[in-house]
This record gives sequence, structure tokens and C-alpha cells, in this order.
Amino acid sequence: MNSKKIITIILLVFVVGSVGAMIYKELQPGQTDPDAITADISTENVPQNQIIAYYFHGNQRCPTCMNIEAYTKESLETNFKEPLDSGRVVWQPINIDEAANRHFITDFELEMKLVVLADIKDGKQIQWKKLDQVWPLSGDKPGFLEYIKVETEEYLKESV
Amino acid sequence: MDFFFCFGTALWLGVLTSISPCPLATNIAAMSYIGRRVDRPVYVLWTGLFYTAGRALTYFALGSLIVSSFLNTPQLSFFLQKYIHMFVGPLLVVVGMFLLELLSLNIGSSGLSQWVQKRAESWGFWGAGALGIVFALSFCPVSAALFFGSLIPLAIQYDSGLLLPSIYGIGTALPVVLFAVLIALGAHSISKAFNQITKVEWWARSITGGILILIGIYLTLQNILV
Repeated sequence: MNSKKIITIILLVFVVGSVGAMIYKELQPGQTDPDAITADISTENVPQNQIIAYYFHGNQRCPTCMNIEAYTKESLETNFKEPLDSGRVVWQPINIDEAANRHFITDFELEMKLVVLADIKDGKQIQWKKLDQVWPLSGDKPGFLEYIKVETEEYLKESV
Repeated sequence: MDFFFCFGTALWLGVLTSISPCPLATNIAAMSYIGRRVDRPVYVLWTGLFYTAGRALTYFALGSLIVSSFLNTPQLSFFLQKYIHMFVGPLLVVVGMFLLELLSLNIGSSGLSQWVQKRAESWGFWGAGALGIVFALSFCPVSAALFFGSLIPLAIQYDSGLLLPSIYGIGTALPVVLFAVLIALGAHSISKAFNQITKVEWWARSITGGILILIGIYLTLQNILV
């Protein structure tokens, strides 16, 4: 058997095997990611009135997506330390590639990975807002931090 | 004024998508495929046009279906980001194997074989068009944000579900085709000067096949291991 045939067989085995592996992976029930939240938003062990800042991401994390997540977290931790500590504001990254979290795609009409603020009153979600400027601002860190700050402040004021 | 603003914005969003880092791997694959026939610059140009048409047609179809509310945009966006992306890797490995002649269409009948050979050239064009369609459908987070988050709202606002997505598609192909044509022209001039066109064409095709296989393996492993 010459080297050309060996390479061909190896590559064909790789192609068939990888397609099989991807189908198998897709058919498996979602694995539990320790950081992922799979429960619904109305849980009993959190304050009844809160603002949840969701960041929705998938299994694949592009550099821009990771910047969006890091900047949002930084802005919240810098500007809303007290509400975060008290549970009035909650930071919640969620992997929507996990089967249990896919409902968020339709719940929040998500077309892309982004930040959503959800207003919870008496354990019920009463309104939410997609922060879709996070993508255009992803290259402007100061502008991004300010955007998250202003939007969260407005939401906090509205939900008092 | 409005028309030119929309036209320019759609084109610019397409170019932005193309030069963003996340579709880099598929862009390199497309550039290699389009520019591989350094012996025939006109062929490269036609391949580039078919690739552009494939992309434009895909966004045209998607845009018109979304703007006319036939499709559930959130579900579609995440479906495309997740599933099409999964199969681009294995597909590129197979295309690379054909270019390296590791795989070939063995057809017994000599008449049919001649027919296949005659059409191989036009299949190269159609292959570029198909590659354009598949790459356009394999959304990554940045391209999804630009298409679904910026282009579609613009198309809805100006009620242009056909034209603006097509212009966006042309924008996504422009940098890739331009670079492919420039590289092919440069390689053609050098190889002509040294009278080595056939040799350079063989190398270009082999390198293209190798690049497609490597990118295919990279994208496949990225999907399996993540």
C-alpha cells in the first residue's frame, strides 16, 4: 500500500469518524456545566425583586464574545457592587448550547449572543431588554462599560 | 440619498464581516480555492464571481424569507451558527482530497468519463458557488451579529429584503475575491517570467488542497473538542 492510499484512508476515517462523533455528541443529553444555570429564573432562594443581567453564549467562544462577557462583568462589578452583593442585581452567564437553556432563545428572541437585562418582581419576570449595542461597542471598552452602567442604572430606577 | 446610504451600509457590513477574525479560516480556504488556477487568471476571476454569487444568493434568500416573516429569526440564527458550522470542517477535508487527487470520480464507461472531464472546468465554477453558499450559511458569532443584528433591521426598516442582503453578500465576498485574484495574478506573472506555469499550477493546486484539509481538520476538531 503506497503512502497516497494510506493518507486517503486516514483522512476518510477522520471525516466519517468526526461526522459520527458530532452526531453522537449532539444526541447526548446536555452535560452539566458548573457555571451554567439551567434552572428557571424564578427560584426560591433569591430576593423576589431583582435585575438579572444575562450574558448568552454558546460552546464556541470567539475573542469578541469573551470581551463582551468580561466587559459586562467588569462594569457590573465596578458600578453595582452593593446591589450585586445583596442579590438585587444578578450576573448570569448562560450557555445556550445546553439543551436545558435553549428556551432562552425564544424567551428573549435572541438572534445572537448578547446581554439581556430582565426585571424580576415577586419572582416573576415582568420585562426585559436586549442590549444589542454590545456588539458595535465591543471594540470601545470605555464606551462599553458606560453603556452597561447607564442601561443597568435605568433599569434599576424603573424597577424600584 | 437614502438609497446610497443603505447600499453603502450593507456593503460595508459585508466587508466588516469578511475582515473580522472569526471567519478567517473559511476565508483562507475560499481564497486558496478561488486562486488555485494561477495558470489562468480569467478562470480565477470567474471562480471568484461564482463564489460571490453563491454568497449573495444565500443572503438574498435568507433576507427575503426573514423580512417577509416566513422564518423564526432567533431559531434560524442559532441553528445556522451551530449546525452548518459543524459540517464545514469535514466538507473542506473532502474538497481538499479531491484537489490533491486523493479522491476521484472513477466512472467505468469511457464516454461518461470524457463527459466528466469536459465538464470538470465548469464544475470548478459551480464548486466555488457551492462553497460560497456553505460559507455564507456557516455563521460565526460576529457574522451573526452583523447579519441578524445590523443588516436585517436595516432591510426591514427600508423594506428591502432582497437588495440589501444581496449587497451584503457581495460585501462579504469582495475582500476574499480581491486577494485571491491579486495573489493569482502575481503568481501568474512570476511563473510566466520563469516559464514555469504548469509547475506553478500543480504547486498551487496541491497547496490549496493541503490548506483546505488542514483548515477542515482544525474546524472539525474545534467542533468536537469544545
